[in-house]
Amino acid sequence: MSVLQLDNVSKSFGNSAILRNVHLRIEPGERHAIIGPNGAGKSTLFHLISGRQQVSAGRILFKGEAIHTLPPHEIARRGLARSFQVSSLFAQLSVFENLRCALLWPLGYGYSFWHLLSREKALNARTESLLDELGLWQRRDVPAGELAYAEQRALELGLAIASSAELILLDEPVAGMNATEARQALALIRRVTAGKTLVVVEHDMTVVFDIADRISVLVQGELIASDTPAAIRRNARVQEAYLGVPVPAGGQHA
Amino acid sequence: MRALVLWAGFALVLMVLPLIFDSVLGVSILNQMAIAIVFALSYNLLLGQGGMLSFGHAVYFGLGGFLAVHAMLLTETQTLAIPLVLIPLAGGLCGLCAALFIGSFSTGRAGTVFAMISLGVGELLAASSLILVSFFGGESGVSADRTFAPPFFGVDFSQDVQVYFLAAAWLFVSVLGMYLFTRTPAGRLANAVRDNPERARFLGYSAGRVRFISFAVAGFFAGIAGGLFAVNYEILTAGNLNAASSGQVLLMAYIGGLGVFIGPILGAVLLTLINSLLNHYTTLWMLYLGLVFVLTVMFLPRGLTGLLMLHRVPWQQGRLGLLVRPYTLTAIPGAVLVLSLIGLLELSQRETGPFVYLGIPFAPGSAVSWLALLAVAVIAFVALRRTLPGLRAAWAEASAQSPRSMHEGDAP
Ligand SMILES: Nc1ncnc2c1ncn2[C@@H]1O[C@H](COP(=O)(O)OP(=O)(O)O)[C@@H](O)[C@H]1O
Ligand SMILES: [Mg+2]
Repeated sequence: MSVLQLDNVSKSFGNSAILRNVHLRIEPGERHAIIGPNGAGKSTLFHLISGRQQVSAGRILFKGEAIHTLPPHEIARRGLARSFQVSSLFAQLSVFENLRCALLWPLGYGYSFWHLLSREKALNARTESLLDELGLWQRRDVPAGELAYAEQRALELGLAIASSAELILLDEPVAGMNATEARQALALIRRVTAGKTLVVVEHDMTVVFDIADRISVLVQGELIASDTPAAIRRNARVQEAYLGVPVPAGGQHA
Repeated sequence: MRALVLWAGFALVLMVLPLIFDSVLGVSILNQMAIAIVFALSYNLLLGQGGMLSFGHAVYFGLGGFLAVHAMLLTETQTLAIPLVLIPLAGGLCGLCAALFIGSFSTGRAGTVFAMISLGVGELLAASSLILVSFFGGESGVSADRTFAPPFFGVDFSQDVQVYFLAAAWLFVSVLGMYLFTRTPAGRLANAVRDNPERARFLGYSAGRVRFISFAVAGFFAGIAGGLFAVNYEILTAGNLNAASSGQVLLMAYIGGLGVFIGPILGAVLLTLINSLLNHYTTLWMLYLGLVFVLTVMFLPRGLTGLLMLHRVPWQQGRLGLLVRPYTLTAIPGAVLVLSLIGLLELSQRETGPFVYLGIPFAPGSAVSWLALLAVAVIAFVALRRTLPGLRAAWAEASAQSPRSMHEGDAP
């Protein structure tokens, strides 16, 4: 059974169709990249899967169950985590508190008002090891709103991977990072998503061909191919629609 | 360990205060402060901690208070003997129930929607308090006599000092309870939802549910404050749950500072003092309160505690000394300016007769009085403009450090 299955998914805002009849299957353990030019609808696709926006037509199954009618928090609880293209953090909370909030539901705290956070050793230890992995140890007490850009991206990634969800959606996780930061972030992504299913939107082709074992190409709201990297390279439609035009270097995309 | 010492210190201060301020007025003000602190802290669970701007928090205070008076009346009519020390708890439970009901439909959205619902509910209740006479007692309110309650280890609560110790005990428990709440998952998530409700959803949390929990806890402690009010004054009227009371608690929390836990405590202490002392001297005290609020919003968005916190960096770096001289130099013309402006305001609302202000007689009809105050104000203003740049420069110097921490260094 596929981890994620999109059947005939469409999305329109008013009269403009943003996504048209998208079919997509993602198998357990897959590293799946979604590529496509700016405005193709990649982020919108993530918004639909994660429940941030409602599908206009079609259905989305996660582990065989329909999720396209559920609110975001219930989708998240089933084991689907995501990051945002534009960092979405808890600005006044420290880096440490941001990460700890991301661990609360997965570790079973629910809405508890009978646990004292400072006493929860396992929770705090996991938060600290996450801090360490993300390279944010030194910045643990800084409010997230005051971090530098690359640090915000690292924290954004941290919030998505903290829960060790089965399916992780990352929307341009290394965009805007310099080469060294991007390499570190990718190594981290690879490490923490081992054994999980990963779907990543990415612009940098070297990154995509390096990390993905399947690639889907989205052009103007249509999924024109979904295949192995080698097959995607050879695909005539893809070459014409996307790879033929000069691919922007990772980092310029807003 | 350090926390334990702090809490023990807090308890000690509470016990010593009535020995220092042992006059009738002193004890009466201490009681008011205890009530105001619990109320203001409960309000901050909404605004500062949870990002919910409520214009109707007095509803839970008032309902808790009214229920507490009725509970005291039950004892008075010998229907049920409730010990007086438990009356605030009855108020708290009433506040909690009201908050559970109203929160169930008002906390789904924050922002304008929440604020408008809180205002509407407040108005609704203020209006019905004049209609439902059996519970709210109409214009005259409901009153009870606390001394009918069974004595508590020989204490009959006939004196205000005895009430103070009851209030102080509940104050201690409430402050501790609210502080601990902010350190639980639900309390921390309230901060997260305040900052970014959308992201909290993708971490598995319903933003509405998180707000609802904070709202219920805030209602509970507001009800306790109302119960303490009932014990202290033995009367509640419609004025206790109207928009003016809701506005008062907003002022306390905001002026004290929303960002730090103890901010509203400072605000409650200060505003209680202003309320109970200033209104002996001037009829304009509401105007001054409004001015203080406007100035706080404009110049100290993080309130008085925010201003104090700004001094942390200079203090850590041992450069606080740099600020003493510029502060003094600015404070003198600043104080003169404020005092002369107050003089002008007071003068403007006297109709006849001499008016003695700071030991100097002024006459509302005399041009000399007006011109003298105006001249002093202008001179002080000019002097202030000349000393302010020095203060700014001193600030920059005192709080300069590695560029990473520059965020602490904004001049006030
Ligand atoms: N809320 C919205 N309302 C109307 N149009 C939108 C909205 N969100 C996105 N779009 C449009 O949908 C298209 C796809 O956007 P997006 O999914 O962000 O593209 P990508 O992530 O592939 O760059 C863009 O043309 C964008 O303008
Ligand atoms: Mg995008």
